[in-house]
Amino acid sequence: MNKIIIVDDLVKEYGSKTVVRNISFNITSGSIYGLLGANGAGKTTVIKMIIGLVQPTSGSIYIDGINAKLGKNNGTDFKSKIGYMGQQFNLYNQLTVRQNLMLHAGCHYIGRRNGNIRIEELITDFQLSDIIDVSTAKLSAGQQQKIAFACSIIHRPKIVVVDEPTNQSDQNSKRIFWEQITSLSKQSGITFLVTTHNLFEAEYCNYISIMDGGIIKEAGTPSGIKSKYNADSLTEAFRRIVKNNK
Amino acid sequence: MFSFFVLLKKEIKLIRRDSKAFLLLFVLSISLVIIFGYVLRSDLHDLKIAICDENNSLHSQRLSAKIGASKLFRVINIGPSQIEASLQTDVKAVVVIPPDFTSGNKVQIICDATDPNLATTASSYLNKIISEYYNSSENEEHYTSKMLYNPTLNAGLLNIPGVISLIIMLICVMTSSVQSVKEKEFHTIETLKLTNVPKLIIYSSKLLPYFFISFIQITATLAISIILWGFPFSPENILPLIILSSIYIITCLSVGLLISVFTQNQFDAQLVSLMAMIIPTALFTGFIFPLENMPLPLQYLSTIVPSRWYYSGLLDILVRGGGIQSAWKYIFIMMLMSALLNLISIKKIKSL
Repeated sequence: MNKIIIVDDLVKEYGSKTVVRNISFNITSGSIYGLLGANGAGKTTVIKMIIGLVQPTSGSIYIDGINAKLGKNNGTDFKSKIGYMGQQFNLYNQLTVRQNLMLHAGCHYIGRRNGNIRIEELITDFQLSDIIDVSTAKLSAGQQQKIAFACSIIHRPKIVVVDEPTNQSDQNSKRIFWEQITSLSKQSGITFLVTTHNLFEAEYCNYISIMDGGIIKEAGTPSGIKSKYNADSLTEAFRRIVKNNK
Repeated sequence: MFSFFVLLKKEIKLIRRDSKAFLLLFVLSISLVIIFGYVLRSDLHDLKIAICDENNSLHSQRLSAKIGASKLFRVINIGPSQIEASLQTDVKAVVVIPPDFTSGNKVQIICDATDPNLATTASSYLNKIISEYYNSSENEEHYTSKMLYNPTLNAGLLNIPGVISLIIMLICVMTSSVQSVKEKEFHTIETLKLTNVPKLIIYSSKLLPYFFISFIQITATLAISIILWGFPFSPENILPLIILSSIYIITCLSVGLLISVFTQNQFDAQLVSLMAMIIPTALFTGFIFPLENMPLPLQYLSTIVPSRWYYSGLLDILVRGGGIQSAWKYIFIMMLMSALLNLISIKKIKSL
């Protein structure tokens, strides 16, 4: 299978503090890759380095064959391949859902006509017709999550990076979200890199890495990790991994 | 009672550890006390005036020497053809000693009355010196006076350009930097940075609306001033006003951009805008406190405040009717400021 993201020996230091230590992993195209760990494990720093929001101290990142460091010289290719949904959803609350979507379309040079066509598609896929002209400030956290996700895929990226997507959502919204990314991964071949500290949700991932203290402690498929640690659930496996490492 | 002391102790610790609160509570207040001690002076000191001695006799030279000996004035000598031209510079008054001075003709004092308070004070101090020369009472006038550019001594003429400078500074520096920094606080800037839109376009698109809002504000302020207070405005001032204001707005937006690039949240942006620009605009522009009365270090400090140059340019264009040719030097200074500020901002934005 084609490796769409290659991370090699990634290090991030803030002054004398090392928050990410020599991390390496590959992500297969069309898969859902989960980066798991408790708060402060270094997950968000890793994904921000992958998408170029944070510069790594050392190490290399390749996105669909493009060196992310050099991606600045060839910015069009690198950025158009990535969609990003942040923890805070990063929406303009004074704008309506349609205006937020159109802003993202415009920033990805989709154009007004094609942008409107794409928005109509997303309205259908995400069932947004009731809220399309409502200000996002008036929406629930679950609805905002849906809009933020729609914004992140409006330009049909090959890779979508999602940071703690379901932190503020109820159980039903969480389930719908994970079903959506599973379906998009299977049908459209989009690769998802998702960070979460929710070990139940990690079961939806094809492959996971468990981070603690800035390093990857364990990696594999959810079932592989469970059987390796002779655990019934990922929660139990996680507990044993952390205990073994201590 | 114990709980009260615990809470009090907590509050003191919080203030001590919050550098911004410390800055506001102590540094700002101490600086204001020191600055206002120097700034709030109604007496004259080292005011630049000119003497045009058309009599050139021993008597007229004695009067010139008496005026020159005063610490209140810094005197230059000019010829009769230079009177109006010198008042277009930083000369605030001209004492004209007429050719027939020795046969009893009165001295004429011509003041630049764009700042009516300064003109009146200068005129009365000159009267005192001339009276001393004649050995007579101050009530007896030995001179005729002429208030140039603002014969009715209308203080509004001075305030309106000052208010315009302040409003533009508020819009372009404070509002624009706060709005820009909001994107960082709400993380929306992250999404924009991940698009192919160049960072410079992202930032400049945030600032451009304030350029137009500023022009609407200038138009509204002038319209109100013309309708309510009869502010004199000639249509031939429109083009010079547009050119001067455009450069000032760009300079202020450059300051706003710089602040938004270097601060991380709205509170910091507000604090920096207030301390670095809004307060200096009120103090060092010259419309509230005459710059001529300030000590030299503060006068030098005022040169880095863009509104000082805009205000001087506005006075030249709107009050003195000097047109663009009298304001070009202010435009040039502000262009240099703007270029420098943009250079720093662009360098920082590219590294973000």
